[in-house]
Amino acid sequence: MLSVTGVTGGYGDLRVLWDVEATVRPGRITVVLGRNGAGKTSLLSAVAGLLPTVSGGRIELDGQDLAGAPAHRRVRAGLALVQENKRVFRARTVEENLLLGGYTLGGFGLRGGARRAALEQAYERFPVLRQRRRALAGSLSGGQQQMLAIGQALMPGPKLLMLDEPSAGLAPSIVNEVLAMVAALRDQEGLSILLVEQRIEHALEIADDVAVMENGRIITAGPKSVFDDGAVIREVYLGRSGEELTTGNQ
Amino acid sequence: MTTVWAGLATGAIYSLIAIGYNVVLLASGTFNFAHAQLLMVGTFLAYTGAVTFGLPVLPTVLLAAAGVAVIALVEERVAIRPLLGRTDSHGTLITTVGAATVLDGLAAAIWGRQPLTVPSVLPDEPLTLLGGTVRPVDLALIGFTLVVGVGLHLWSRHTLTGLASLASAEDRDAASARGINVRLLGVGAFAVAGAVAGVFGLLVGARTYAVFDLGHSLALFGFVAIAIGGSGSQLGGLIGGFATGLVYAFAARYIGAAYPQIVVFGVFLLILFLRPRGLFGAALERRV
Repeated sequence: MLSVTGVTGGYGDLRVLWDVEATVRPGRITVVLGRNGAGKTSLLSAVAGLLPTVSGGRIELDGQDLAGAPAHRRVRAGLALVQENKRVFRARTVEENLLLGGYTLGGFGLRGGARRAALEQAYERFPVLRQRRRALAGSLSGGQQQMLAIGQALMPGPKLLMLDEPSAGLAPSIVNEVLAMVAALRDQEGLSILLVEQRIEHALEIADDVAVMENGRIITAGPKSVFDDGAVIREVYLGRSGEELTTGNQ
Repeated sequence: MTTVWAGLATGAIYSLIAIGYNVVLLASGTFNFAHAQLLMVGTFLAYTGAVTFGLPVLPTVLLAAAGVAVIALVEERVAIRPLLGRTDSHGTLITTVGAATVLDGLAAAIWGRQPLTVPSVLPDEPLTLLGGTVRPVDLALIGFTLVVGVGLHLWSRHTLTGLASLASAEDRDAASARGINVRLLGVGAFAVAGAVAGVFGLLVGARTYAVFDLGHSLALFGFVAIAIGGSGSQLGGLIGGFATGLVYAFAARYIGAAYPQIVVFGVFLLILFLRPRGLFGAALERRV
C-alpha cells in the first residue's frame, strides 16, 4: 500500500508538484492520467526519490515513511520504478542489466544466491531475454528493451511497481502485450502498481483506481467506476479548468 | 630494445594517470584533473616514508597509499560534493583544476621546490632483457601497472560493484533507481584512485624524482593516453599510456632530445581529428 500525502517539489526553484495526494491499494493498479507536462513523471520521480527537490509531505509504503530517504534506500524498502523511454543501461548486456536490477539482493557473488534465482525467474518470465542475454541492451528492439526494463525492476521482488508510459514508442501490436503483462503482475503476483500511461483507453481497461493530474496537482481521484462515463477524462484532455472539476467531484 | 623499455617505463606512469582518471570518471562521472597531483603527492610521501622516517618498503607503500587516499577523499568532499545535484555539473572541471593547484602549492611549501631523490627499492644493477637493458625498478613499475590496469578492467566487468560503477557512469539516475548508492560509489572511487596513486609513489618516484610540479607534465601525457585509449576504458587507458611512452622515447631517440613533446602532441591532435573517441572506441559517451 502506497500513500502519498502533501508532497510538493520540483527542480530547484521550479515547482512542478503542488500538495500532491495519491494512493495505491494493495494488489491494485492506480492509473495516473493527465496531459503532457501535468507532472505525472515528476510524481513518480518524487516517490522514487529522484526528484531533485521535495519539500514536505509523506511518502509511505506499508506504513514506512520514505520521504527523506535517498533513492537507493527506497529500492531496498520495496519500491521499483520503470522510467520512461525504456531506460536500460544500453552499453551493458541484457544479463548485466538484470543482475544490476538485483543489486540490492544479498550475496557477494555476481551470480550468487538470491540473484541467481531472480535471474532465472526473469528469464522464465521473458524467454526472449534468455535468448539474447549476451546482447547489448542498446541493440534490442523497443519491445524487448521494455521487457528488460520491467524485468530489471522486478529483480529485487518489489512491493510496489511504478511504470512511466510503458507503451510509449512501441508498435501498436506490442502495446496490448505490455499492458496485459502489467495486469498479470497484479492478478497473478499481487503487485501494487502505479501506472502513468498516455493511451487512456488501454490504461483504463486494466485500472482499479484513477488519479487525474493537471498543473502539478491531483485534481480528482477515485475508483475507476467514477470515471466510467468518460466525461471527466474528456474534459481534462480536451480542456475546461481544473477548479470546476475539483468542485464537481469532491 | 633499451628504448622500448624506457618508453614502456615512462608509459606506465602515463597509464597510471589514465587509469586514475578512468576510475573516477567511471564511478562518479567526474573528470578529476588533480589525479596527476595525487601521484605527485604519492612520490613525496614515499620519500618521507623511505628517507625521512627510514621505513622499510611495505610500511612506506602503505603510508603513501593511506595518505593519498585521505587527500583524495578530502578533495572529493571539498571540490566535488558541493556541486553534486546541481544542474550545471561541469563546475567540477574547474574545482578539480583548483584542487590540483592547491596540491602543487602545498607540496612546494612542505617539501620545497628542489627535486628529491626517491630511493630505488630494488637493486640498481640493470638487467639485460630481450636485447635491451632495463632497471629492475622500472620493470616492476611496468609489471604492476599492467596488473592494476587489467585487474581493474576485469573487476569492472565481473563484479557487482564494478558493473554498478559502469552503470552509474552511463546513467546516474537509472542506477539510483536500481538501488545503487551512486554517491558512496563516487566517494569509493576517489579513495581507490588515491590509494593506487599512493601505492605507486615509490616506483614512480624512483623514475621521476619527487618534485612539486610533476603533476603538470604527467597530467598532459595522461590526457594523451586517454585520448588514444578512449575515456572510460581501462584497457584503452593502459594501452594509450604505453603507446604515448613509446612514441615519446622513440622521438627522443631518433628525432632529437628537443622534439618528443611536439611529436606526442602531434599524435594527440591526429587522433583527435581522426578518432575523437579514441582508438578503442570509448565504452562511454560523454554527454555535454
